Parts: sequence; structure tokens; C-alpha cells
Amino acid sequence: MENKIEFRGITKYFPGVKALDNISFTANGGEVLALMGENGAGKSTLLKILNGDYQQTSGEYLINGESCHFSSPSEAVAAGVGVIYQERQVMLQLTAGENIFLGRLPTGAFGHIKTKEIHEKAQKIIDEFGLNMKSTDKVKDLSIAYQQMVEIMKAYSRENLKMIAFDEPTASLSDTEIASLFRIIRKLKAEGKVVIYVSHRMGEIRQIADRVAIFKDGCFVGDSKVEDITDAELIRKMVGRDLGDVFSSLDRNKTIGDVVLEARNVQSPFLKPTSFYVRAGEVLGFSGLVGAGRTELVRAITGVDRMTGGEVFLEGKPLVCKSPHDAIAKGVVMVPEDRKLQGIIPRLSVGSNISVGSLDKLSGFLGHIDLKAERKMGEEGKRNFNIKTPDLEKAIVELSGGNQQKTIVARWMASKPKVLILDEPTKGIDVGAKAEFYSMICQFAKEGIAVILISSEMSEVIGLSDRIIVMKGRKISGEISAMEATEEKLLTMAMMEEHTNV
Amino acid sequence: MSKKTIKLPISANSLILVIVMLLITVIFTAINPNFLTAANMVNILVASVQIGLTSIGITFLMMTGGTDLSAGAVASACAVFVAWGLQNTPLNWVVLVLLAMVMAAVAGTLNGLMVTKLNLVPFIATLVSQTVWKGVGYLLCNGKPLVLSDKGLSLFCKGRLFGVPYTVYLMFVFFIIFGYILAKTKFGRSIFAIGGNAEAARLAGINSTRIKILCYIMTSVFAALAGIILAGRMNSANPASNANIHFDAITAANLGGVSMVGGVGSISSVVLGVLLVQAFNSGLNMIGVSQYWQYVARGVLLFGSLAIDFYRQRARMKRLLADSMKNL
Repeated sequence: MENKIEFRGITKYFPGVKALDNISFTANGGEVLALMGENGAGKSTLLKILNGDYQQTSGEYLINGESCHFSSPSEAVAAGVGVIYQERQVMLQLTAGENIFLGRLPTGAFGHIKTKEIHEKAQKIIDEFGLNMKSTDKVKDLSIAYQQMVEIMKAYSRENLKMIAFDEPTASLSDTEIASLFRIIRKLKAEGKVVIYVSHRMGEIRQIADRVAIFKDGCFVGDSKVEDITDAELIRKMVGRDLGDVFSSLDRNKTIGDVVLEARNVQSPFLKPTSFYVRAGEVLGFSGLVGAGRTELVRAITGVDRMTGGEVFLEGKPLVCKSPHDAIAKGVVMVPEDRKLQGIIPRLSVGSNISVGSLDKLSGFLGHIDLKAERKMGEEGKRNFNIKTPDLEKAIVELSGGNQQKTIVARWMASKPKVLILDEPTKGIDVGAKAEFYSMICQFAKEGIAVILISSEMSEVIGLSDRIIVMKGRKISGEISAMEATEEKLLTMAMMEEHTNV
Repeated sequence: MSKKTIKLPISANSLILVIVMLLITVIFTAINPNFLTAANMVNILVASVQIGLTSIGITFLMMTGGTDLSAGAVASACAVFVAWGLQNTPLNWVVLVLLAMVMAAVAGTLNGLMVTKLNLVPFIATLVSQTVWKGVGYLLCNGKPLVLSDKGLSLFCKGRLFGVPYTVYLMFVFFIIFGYILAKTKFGRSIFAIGGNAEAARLAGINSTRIKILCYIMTSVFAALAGIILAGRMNSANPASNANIHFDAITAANLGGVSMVGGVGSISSVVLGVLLVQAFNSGLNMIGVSQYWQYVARGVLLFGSLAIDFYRQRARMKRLLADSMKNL
């Protein structure tokens, strides 16, 4: 029987965000359908609705013609829907076999688990997959790739498996591991399962996918057979707007000054030794795939993560940050990548969210806050950054995503920084607000601030930066001036082994 | 937006508390007319000092997302310590009370360190110290209540001005001071930020470790003060007499709109919560409900408060979502 999943008008709201807007398309069994789109385009949200993590606000999805509604992931799993995430969802202390049958372990009369039966059945699947491991191996002793395989087998072991989705499955896999993953995917496809594959890597999509569905800003833009669409077309559809215009109209006249921040062999538990510098008035772009170490680098510099080696210099003087507080006091501030988890303080007002980064400056003897100065700071932030809110007393969580982000930027600009680090500043915000951010970033550079821009949207990095550093595998893999940079070059540097810039 | 919203002088939550308070007053008075007399109102105020003082510290602590189960044990241990000191040392009562405060501060620091440095869940960390301080209290008095007879301390705990004890004034002075601190200072704002989003607060340069430890210290010190005042009023320090003080204080704070997950609250609403809890406890006594049923009733009261809190959060989320759907 041919499997099929049909999405009809799926819409999903979060407070302040419309994450999915009337999504309709069909995924067929026996083919690999790639979902593509920029970060925040809605691919992951759609997968989470499919596996019962989220509930759609409106619309429905049909599996083999039957309208389904999963109110929890366990319901989705029971109905034959498997989603494999980047983060492993396996129990490390259990054996591979136990993991594969977790949730429906065969038990005897008194509830004891039939271990032998589990391992017999599990080993059969493992052999079928052609993997060099035993069902009795503890998962914690397996490589990341094999842990992922255990998850796939867990989904596969359900006789009723109809669909399996992969969310950026290759992020932490080596080439040979990717090859064996693809072999498994082809096997699933041959068995008529619906396979959905989410990835940013163009090369992989061309290798494994039959059809590609393109998402943009929460909308389904269209689909195409992979061989019928060129990379350029695909990117244009994903971006969906002629960004050339947005960027060329930016006012980028400015003078670049002396080196403000310099990192020499900075190291952390999450980062290999890394060196770079940024000048006053310069926008230094950081490109690379998710997990390449860009965020980890700025976290180490700003004292969020512990530095285990190397030195940082601010205007020639050593900068030692034991906590973010130290970095902020010295004028090195960061707009973090996850607005919701790391940026906003949801229940506080817009005004307080702006002032919270400058409490030291706003409070006097005995720590009382100068409310007048605080109010002024809020008003200025609201005006300068065009934050759309009826008043400063409104809780920040009630604003749209773009306005929340503007508030966070206002927080840090109010602290009069020397170095402004923006980590994915336009993730998940609408197109209009994006353009506003672009001109803001240029304005900051013009004012002489050294700007570090981390972005997974390559057009953004190219269009805004003066210089671009590409990271791969937790270290810098190359540097290129904005003039020479193209998306292909950046992607090559982000994905190739050992690239040196000439 | 065509519909005008009427701005009330007090929050909706405070209004509910006032209504509930009126309601229980009517019920208790109907059963025992002595409930609604001036003398009884003063009695309720006097008795509310224990919960009131403890609730100040607990409010700050709960705002950061913490909790403290050891406050009652610390309060008892400190009260017993003062009584023991008056009997066995030549020290003045003021010195002994100050030493007891230091002892409480140590207890609070240890709680804070367990939570921030060892990453223990506040519940478990303070459960550990609860047992330890309970033991210290019993050790100091050999398990028997100590007589506490010091003129100065009695005057402090029982002396009255215009018919109302000094301690009631003291409580309200603390309410005002700490209400100001919570609403208008860097310390207070940092507490809101930590309770609202601890990671964002850290990235915004707030030293959450220090502030959390300070909140644990505040909780212990206020509880100790409450315990000493109770002992002074009763002329006796009993190692078991404050065992539930944190429970009532948590109920009062939660009724006053301080969420168990932190990030929201104000002292002024907590004052209403304190009065409500004490009126509830006193009223149950006056209408002759047995001590054991009172335990059940207190549990039900906190449960009711938590349930209201839960539905309030859920209604808020729904409203936010509806707003987004309208405006996007």
C-alpha cells in the first residue's frame, strides 16, 4: 500500500508570531521529500505539529486519507509517524534493543521484561540495516551516528510505520556515516514509506531527495522535482525577494578605524583555538553551518561560557570576562541567538527589558533606580528603533517577534557599547522588520561600533559585512572580503574539509 | 480598540482577595459573632506578624523561582537559641537576638549555596536543612520548651502603642521598606529578571548567584525574627512552635499573586494574602474547628490558591495567542 500525507491549510500561531501560514501540500510514499527554507521558515514547526508536539491553530493533515490529530508525541508514534531530531532522543543507559522497543517492551505474566525476545527481534532489525553493532550494546557506548540509527530503528520497528521525518540529521555525522544513513533512507523509500528530509545542505538534497518543498516565512512557496530546479532558483524561492535591492540601498558610507576587539587562540570546551579581530565601524560577518562554533566563539569571549585558553584584547588591553556582567561593563554586548530563551524577560515590561542591561548605570546609592532616567532610556529606545508598542508598560511577550528583537537591540544600544555582537538577529522575524534591522546595523557601524554579525542567511552576511569569516567544525575555516564573497564560496568554505583562503 | 478598559485602583487579584476576605468574615461572624470585634481584629493583626514577616523573605525568594521549607525550623532554632542564651549566658537580649540573626543568615547562606553551587533543587536543599535546624533546636533545649522571661524582650514583643503591639507596626514598616526595594531598586528588578528568565538575566549581566543567596538569607532572617517574636509573646521558646510558618507564608505569597515559578508579584498584594491567611486560621480556631482539621483546611487553601494561579496563567496564554491572531 502506498503511504501518503496530505497537509491542508495548516496554520500555527505562537504568541507574537505566525509560524505557519496556510500550509498545503502532499508528501507521497516511495519518495524522499526535502523541506527547504531559511531558519525560521517553519519547517521544524511543521514537523512538531506532525509528531504531536504542537497543535495547529487551524487546518488538518491526513495520513493515507484519514484525518489525524495527535495531542502528544506518543500518539503520533503509535500511529506510525516517526520524527528523528538532531538532538538524540535515546536513553543512554539502556541497550540498543531496549531503546528500539522502548514503550512497548514485551513482558511476561508478572510484568517482567522478556529480554531475550527483545534482543532477538532487535538484532534482526540491526542485521537488516546492515549495521556493525549488537542489540545488547549500551547506547552510551555507540557513536553519535549509531545512536541516531537506533532512533531510526526504533521508528522502523513499528509494523505500522508510515512516515519518517529527519530534521537536519547529518549535522554531526562524518561522510561515511552520512553514506550509511542515506543507504537506510533509500531502503525506507523502497519500502514505500513517506520520507521527509529537512536540511540546509544543497549537496545532500541533490543526492537523496526526489522532490523539494520550499518554505519561506511560514508559507509554502511551491515544490519541484529536484532535477528540475537549479540551486540559484531554489535559493531565490527560499529567500523569495530580491534582497539585492534591500542591500544595495543601504547607506554604507563610513570610516573603518582601529582594531577594537582581538581574540587570540580563544578556546572553550565547545571551541577549538580561534583568532580574529574586528575594527571600529566594521561589520564582521560570521558564516557557517549551524553548529560550526560561531555562537560558541562569542559566548566564550563574552564570559557566557568559560574560556579554557587564549586571550582577548579590547582596545589593546586584556579583557577577562568571568561572567557576561564583566563583558557588558567593558562595552562588549551580545544579542543572543535564541530570543525567547536567552533574550526577553517575558513578564517584564518593554521599558524594563530595555533598562535591564544598564541597571548599574541607572541605579544610584543604595541601589534605587532612577525611574526618570529609565523612562527616558525606554522612550529613546522605542523611538530610535521604531518599536511598535502602545506604551512602555506593555509586557514584552505581547509584542511581535520583530519588535521583541528590536527591544533587545535597544537594550544593548542603550548601554553604549564598543562591540555589538548580533547572533542570528533576524531569525524568525518578518521581512519588513528584517529590512529595518539591516539599516540599523549599518547605522551602528557608522557610529563607530565594531559589529560582529553571525547569521545563517548568507545573503545577509554578504550584504551587510565588510569582511566575512567562515567557521566549520568549531574553528575558522577561512576568511573572505565581502566584495569577493558569493553564496557558493561561503557554502564551499563552510562545508569543505580544510579550506585555506588565498 | 474601541472598547475602553476601566482602570481599577487595585489589581484584579487584590480585588478578589478583598472579596474573599469579606466573605469569610461574614461566614465566621455568622457562626461566632465575636469574630467581628475590634479586639479580635487586633488579635488577628498580632498573630499575623509571624506569617507577615516570613512572607516578606519568602516573597523575594519565590520571585526568583526558589522556595524554602527550612524557614520554620530555622525560626524555631533561633528562638530557642535566644531563650537558651538568656538562661545560660550573661548576654543582653539585644545581643542574643542579633546573634540569632547571624545564625539565621548562616542558615540562609547554606541554603543558597546548596541551590546555586551544588545545583540542588530548592525543595530538596531546604528539606535537608530543615532536618538539621530542627535537630539544632531540640539539642539546644533538650527537647523541652524553654521559659523565656526577659523584661526587655517582653516589652519589645508585647508592648503596645495605641492598643496595637509594636511588632505590628514593625511588620508594616518592613512591608513598606521591602515593597519599595522590590519595586524600585536594582536588587528588586534583578529578582524580577531572574524569576522571569534566569538565562536572559544572566546574559543581561545580572549576578543571579549572589541575588539568590541574598534571598535565601532574607528568608531565614525574617523567619528567625518571626520565631523570636512569637517566643517573646508566649514567654516560651518551643522547638516545635514554628514548624508551619513557611507553609502559611508561601500560601500568603501565592494568594498575593506571587507565582511559584517566579517573575511576578508585589508586596502590597502579599499583605492582603497575609491578612487573609491569618483571618482564615484565626477564624477556624474561633468557630471551634479541631487542630487536625485545620491542617486539612490549610492544605486545601494552598491548593485552591495554586489552582487559581494555574488557571490565571492559562487564561493569560490564551489571551496572548488570541491577540497575536488578531494583529498578525
